[in-house]
Amino acid sequence: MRILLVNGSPRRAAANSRIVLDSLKSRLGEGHEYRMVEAMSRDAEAGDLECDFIVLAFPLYIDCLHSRLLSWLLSYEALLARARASGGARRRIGLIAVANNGFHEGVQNETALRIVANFCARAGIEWRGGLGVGTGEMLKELKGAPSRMLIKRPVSLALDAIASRVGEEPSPSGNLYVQHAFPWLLFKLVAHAGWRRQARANGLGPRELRARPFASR
Amino acid sequence: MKVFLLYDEDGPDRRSAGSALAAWAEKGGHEFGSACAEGLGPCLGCFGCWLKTPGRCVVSRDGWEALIKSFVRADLVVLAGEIPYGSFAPTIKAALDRWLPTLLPYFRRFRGEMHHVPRYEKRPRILSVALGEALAAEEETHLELMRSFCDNAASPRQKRFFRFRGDGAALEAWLEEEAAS
Repeated sequence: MRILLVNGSPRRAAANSRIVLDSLKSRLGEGHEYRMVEAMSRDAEAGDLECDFIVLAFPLYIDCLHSRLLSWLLSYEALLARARASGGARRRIGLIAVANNGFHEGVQNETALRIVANFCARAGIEWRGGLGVGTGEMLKELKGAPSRMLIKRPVSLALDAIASRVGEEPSPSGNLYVQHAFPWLLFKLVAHAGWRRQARANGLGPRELRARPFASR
Repeated sequence: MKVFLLYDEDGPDRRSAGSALAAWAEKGGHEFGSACAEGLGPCLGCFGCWLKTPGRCVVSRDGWEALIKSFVRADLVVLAGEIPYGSFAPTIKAALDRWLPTLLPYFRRFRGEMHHVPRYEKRPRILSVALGEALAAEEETHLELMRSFCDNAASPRQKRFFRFRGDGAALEAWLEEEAAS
């Protein structure tokens, strides 16, 4: 299959979404033709239509998709409609999406995945469902850890499940939601310590981090 | 009360919605201001607004600062634009992506889920007025999105989806209904 991997993160190569795409690619294995698109860099191009399947990964951005990814989807829909009208594009394209967020709950990606499903309905693309991953920042921390590692296992299994939907055969289109097996409170405490550490590296203390430059006077 | 309208692009229906909102604000003795979201660059995803220049976007020369001041100081923010796929118009979404500095990086539990701690004590009510046409599923998605966004902003949730079709009285009735809830 010709598979288009679409990275919808402004962090591009350093993104957790890129880790998701790489891990899905390794699950899908060789024997496919892959092409990576950075949706932040440009609108969709004619070459992006030359695929059998789209694998989209993106971070949750203010409860949905980053503005540039939204523009990319709009441009893809318009290009595809034009190409189909002139008989020049494949009739059948499938799509799965993996959204990740920095909160704990994977289910917070639900609305974002509904937006992607609505895009598929508009564009005439087969929606094969999505995966919403919480604790997204842990993807990077656990990148090199074994898939069966207790903390990572729920996410690994969910990635296996969503990867299995890539193919010619019809598959379920329901969404899956998951987060790393890491307690809510501990996740919060570790995240807070991380923010403070990064701020300190920039010469900022905890009080400066809470600055209110535009408070009403 | 300070009312601030952010619309996606210029056009007759946007001007009509703006006039209707301004008339409602004037009738209620409210201060009214508006801005077009066009021209704002996208969020870079750098977290500089949290970790380098807290509360300020590292890119502020494209009108961001004026916009965020209006946002932060308003009592009611009204977003008006098309809702592609149930989302926001890309121009409005670019502005909302860069609304991140109004939050702190820290987390808390709010309405049963993890959310960021607001940076400011004062938080506006936020409502979305849909323009153009959309499918029923997209309208439903948009209301869900607004509810999530309001939770993220620690603001009262928008209760009902509203599409502006040029009827100022319908807009006023909906605003009153939302404000009373």
